[in-house]
Amino acid sequence: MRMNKKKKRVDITESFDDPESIKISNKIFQIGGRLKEKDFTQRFTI
Amino acid sequence: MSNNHFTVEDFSFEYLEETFQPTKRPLNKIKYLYNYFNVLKKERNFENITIIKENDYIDKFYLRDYSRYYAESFHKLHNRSERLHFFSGTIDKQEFKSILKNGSTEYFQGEKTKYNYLGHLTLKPVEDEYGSKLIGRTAITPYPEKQGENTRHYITTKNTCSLFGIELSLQSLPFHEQDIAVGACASACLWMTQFPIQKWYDIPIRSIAEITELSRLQGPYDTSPAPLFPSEGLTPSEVASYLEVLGIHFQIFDIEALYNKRIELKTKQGYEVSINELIDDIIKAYSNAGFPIICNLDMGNNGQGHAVLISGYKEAKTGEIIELYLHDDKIGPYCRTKFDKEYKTHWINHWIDSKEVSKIVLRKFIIPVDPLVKLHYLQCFEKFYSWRQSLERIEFKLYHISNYRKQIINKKFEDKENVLSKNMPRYIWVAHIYDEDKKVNTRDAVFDANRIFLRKPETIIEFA
Repeated sequence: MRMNKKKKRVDITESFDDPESIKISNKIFQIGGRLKEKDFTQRFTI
Repeated sequence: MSNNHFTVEDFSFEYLEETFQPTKRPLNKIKYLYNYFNVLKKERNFENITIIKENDYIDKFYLRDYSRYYAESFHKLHNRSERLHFFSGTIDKQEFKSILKNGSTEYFQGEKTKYNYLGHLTLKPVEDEYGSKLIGRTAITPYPEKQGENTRHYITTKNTCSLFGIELSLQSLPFHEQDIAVGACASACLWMTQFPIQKWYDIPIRSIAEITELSRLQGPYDTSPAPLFPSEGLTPSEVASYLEVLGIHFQIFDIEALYNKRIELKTKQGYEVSINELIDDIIKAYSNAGFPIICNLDMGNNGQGHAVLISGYKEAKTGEIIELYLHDDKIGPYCRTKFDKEYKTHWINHWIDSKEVSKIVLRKFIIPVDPLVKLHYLQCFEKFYSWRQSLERIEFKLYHISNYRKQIINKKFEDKENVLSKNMPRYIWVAHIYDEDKKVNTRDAVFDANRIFLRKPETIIEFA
């Protein structure tokens, strides 16, 4: 759901060194960007 | 002197059925192809389609599969195939004979084109379990790119062939049906994946049997191994191993894990990202760079694994994906696939219409990428979606730098000469920012896709 949308000019050059934002992305990447153990045996059989 | 090297026939269901040999399978590929060409006829305003069939065609992929499996079988099988060529318009046999005799190749290419080439389809002498012939290497023209206000995007390669000396070509993604003797859905899917990969990474094009062999040999040891031939299918890790053998990288998106909400898809500013939004974004982002997307699907209530390739999608004016086109080796090329009203993880297509399965659920994307693409989309999550919170429309796409430059060279923006000529990484993530009415792309932020973390943009372009 999109929240509190404001029509303003976004600064894309804002800080890129924020460890918190890297942490959030990494957590999501760890869950959604890896093969899981069960994937090693579950076959594409169709 | 007459010969039976070829036949010329009007396109009809009866002719297709006779050529393929009838099937009683509910998931009827003959019916699918018949309907496909009828939609094509309607959308491209063709009155008729003619099929010219080469009756004795040597297909190298079938020969290579033949040598690995059928050559050893007691049951006799021919090693030759047939190849059907589809043309718009009506050509009768006498006319085609005189075209050959007079060398009138201009009817098929260039300014004098009278008959548009719609593609070719190879039929192997091998039958499926319902007695219908299997489809070998095929390239069929996709639906037109414009459909009213909607736009279709495809991953295609240039396909050329020679019909008795007539040079023919078309933009399409090659298709191949599975042959359970040498490879199931995942092997067929990898076969189709090779062609777009070859556009950006030099790899050998292998047959389905060769792909199955290599995937199995490289995969981790399986305590209950399935036989190599006849094939019982590959696992996701075997698919991944095959891609690694080719020397390319792949990126995984475990949609099921993300969907099950084992984590909050939320930025630190509180912007929540829906799975529907994420699916749209991933498909657009990677297709844009020509990277084919292999989908791991769960079919029916028992969740049998199936692998298909996304060959295109239809986008509404707002940017939302409203239809997918799949190369599904059990159905055919460019299989139109809709989403469930609420969940884009649940798909509806010919499988559901023919009642072969009750549901199709997306589990994973496995995306082969150039090894130079290091930055995974999810590693950009926080930054990308925190900007979306404040903007009406922002899209994230992956580009080869040459394609990006080609896209912007005709646009007006400051410092253009410097921006176009300065050295840039081969692959870039680009954030396209639109104006308030969502129609005009006003700004682009260009990021290096070769980094470990998302860092400051290399360039920001403000379009005039």
